[in-house]
Amino acid sequence: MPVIVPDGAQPERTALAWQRTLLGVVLGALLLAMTAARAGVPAATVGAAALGVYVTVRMVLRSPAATLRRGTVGSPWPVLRRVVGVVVALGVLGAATAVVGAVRALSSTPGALTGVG
Amino acid sequence: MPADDDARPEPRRRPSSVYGVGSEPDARFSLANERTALAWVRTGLGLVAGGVALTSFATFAELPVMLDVVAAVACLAGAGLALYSLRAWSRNEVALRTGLPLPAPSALPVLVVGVVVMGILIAGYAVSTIL
Repeated sequence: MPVIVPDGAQPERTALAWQRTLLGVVLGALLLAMTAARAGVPAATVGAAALGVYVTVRMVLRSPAATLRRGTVGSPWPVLRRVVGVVVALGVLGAATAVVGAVRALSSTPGALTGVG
Repeated sequence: MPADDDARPEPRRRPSSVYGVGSEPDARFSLANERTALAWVRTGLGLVAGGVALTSFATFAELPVMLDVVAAVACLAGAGLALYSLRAWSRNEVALRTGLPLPAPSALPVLVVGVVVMGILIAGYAVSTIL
């Protein structure tokens, strides 16, 4: 039997939470793309830019809070899993960019590890 | 499963490991669980963004490479927190559906300890550059 979502602020708060989260993901992808572009790591640049575009397009096409508009509580799992996948991908790309930067700095100036001396 | 009198069939909600268990809880609690999961995702995203910013500074200000290592750890920790949000949501939703007590947020002490340790290390490093 479908559950009727009670009127009130809860669905609105949840929709706003989704918006905050997705906006943060797009901004994070943009930040990583710019950082990787300056650092000269093309794989991370392209990957982060692609992820940002993907999330933006999905946001515009259909809000995940749309499951609430039918009047029943759907499952947030499919969209949540995709968003987590994007964040994990950004984390891996960010770590890779940091490692590449570290390797390059170490190979050019051997004393650069701690900056001492 | 009771016979459907509804005109349109209800699509099965995924994952069945969650929705196949127990009964429908108060919708407010499910929505609160959803918002909590999103808050964990945003926390992980913040760590990733912090790591990216840190490696950006470290590379272009030619700071010690150790900061790049810290940045990489921050990015991976952020990814870990995002993954944790999925697990926490599933466990909480099952607990809501079966009427059992909610499991404790296991990532919270780890997060707090990690932030405190990072703060101490960064403060120590900053002091060491002055001395």
